[in-house]
Amino acid sequence: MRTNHGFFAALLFGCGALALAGADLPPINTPASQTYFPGKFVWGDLITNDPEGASRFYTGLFGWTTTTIERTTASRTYPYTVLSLDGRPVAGIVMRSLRTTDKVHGQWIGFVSVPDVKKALAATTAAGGHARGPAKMLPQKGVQAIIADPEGAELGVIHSSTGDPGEYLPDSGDWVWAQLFAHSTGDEAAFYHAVFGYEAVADSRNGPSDDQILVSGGYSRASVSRIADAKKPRAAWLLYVRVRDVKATAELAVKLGGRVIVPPSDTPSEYWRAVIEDPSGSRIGVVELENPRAEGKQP
Amino acid sequence: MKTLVCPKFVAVFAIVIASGIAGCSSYNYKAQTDSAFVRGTDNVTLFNVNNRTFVGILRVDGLYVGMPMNFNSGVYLSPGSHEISLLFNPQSSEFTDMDNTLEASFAANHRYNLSISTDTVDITLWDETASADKAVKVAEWSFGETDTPEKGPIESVDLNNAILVRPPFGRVDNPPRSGGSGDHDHPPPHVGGPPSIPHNPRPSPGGGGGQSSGGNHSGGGGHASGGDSGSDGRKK
Repeated sequence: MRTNHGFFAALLFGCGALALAGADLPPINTPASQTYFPGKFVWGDLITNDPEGASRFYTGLFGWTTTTIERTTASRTYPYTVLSLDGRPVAGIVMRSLRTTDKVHGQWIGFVSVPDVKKALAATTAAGGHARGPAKMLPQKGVQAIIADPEGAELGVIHSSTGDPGEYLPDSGDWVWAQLFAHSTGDEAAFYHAVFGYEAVADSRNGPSDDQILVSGGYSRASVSRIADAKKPRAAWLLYVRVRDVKATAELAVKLGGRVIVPPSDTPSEYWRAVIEDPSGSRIGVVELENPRAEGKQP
Repeated sequence: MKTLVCPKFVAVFAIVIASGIAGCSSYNYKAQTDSAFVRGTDNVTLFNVNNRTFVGILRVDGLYVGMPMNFNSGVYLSPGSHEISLLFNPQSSEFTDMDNTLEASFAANHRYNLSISTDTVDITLWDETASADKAVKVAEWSFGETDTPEKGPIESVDLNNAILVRPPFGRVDNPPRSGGSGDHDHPPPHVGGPPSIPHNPRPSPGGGGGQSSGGNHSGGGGHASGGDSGSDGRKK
């Protein structure tokens, strides 16, 4: 299993540096509440060697706006870029230098709401996963940490200082879904139940399947799918953003310097999604929930 | 950066390196009209008498370039991509077993130099064709971690033949629990497949509509796109 300790060390170090320096990270939820939705994906951080290029790509693609926070420690300056949708912070970009062993130069990390980060870290270890570092307190934002599940897929855990964003239909540009690719869907679902309290529901929409849907608070949050190639060593999460038009988004991604990994299709059953890769190699899914080509029907 | 200097160790190290170079194929490329040029770090302080760290070019495309003490002299390269193996000095714990190889593309008639950060093992390649003062950053690499089972590279999500799962949308099998419980012991039962993702519209800034956080959304809320047909949502 190949994991990514250094990568997250960089991320956590950056976050720690931000905390130490008292950076003005925006709150996740405004106005603040004390309402939490454990299991909800509430944030995403992109770790990349090219924050400026990533900012151009994602602002152009999703209409996100950026605010960059420069934090200076004793040894270096760490830029952290906040990505917002209609003024609501939804994601961040963390700088991380290239390493020769990197297969790609960027990666999205989803953050899931938990009631208590330290308890989540303890549960992670007890269930066979790994904590990538200690919990970090980030001013205004909350407490967060990175974990790896037993197959090495990394995910963030966070307890926001201001409550979680409400349970609303994701707007275009909002996080809408997450999918874990893993070898053992059953074992992984059990891990995520132990750490996050997810209930795993068999995805029987298309007949018998190994796919599991992770449910919390009465809502579907994510899915667990078997890795198609058993020789591939690494499990991984793929995050999805809602868009109004998958085809247009895919075309725009190419114009912005990205690539289309899984193209949209004219086949009605497939045109709801695409997977794109930004210029640094980070992959992200895009999803249509409604599509005019469906003639009023959900595909 | 923490450094450690042991004169005896350094002497042995130098002998080992020199011996190794003497016994290996060497890189022998003389300047051509279109050659690129790359050199190691500035301000070379041999054997780290002042606790300074510097970086030299040890190998190009696997071939030793010469005595590694000659850090700042640099090498000529044919235009294109080359694998550069670096020699770090002093040999401190940060460098143990680390991957010291980088790959970069070098343009014809351009001059490059490498720099190293003072507190981490981050290497920067600069294009100083115009002048050293106007050098342009070409690339950065971090060498602080090794590629072991616990310290690996970033890999992308492998989507070869992957099946993408469509988010369940528009069909509600169970009302949501109230927010904030955090109760992991008694998840709600589910019958007939997965519930929907949240699908009630966000209230407009002016108020009205939508669902308050954690509220009941049974009945479908404000979404009117019809139910989940259960149709195939998979990549073929």
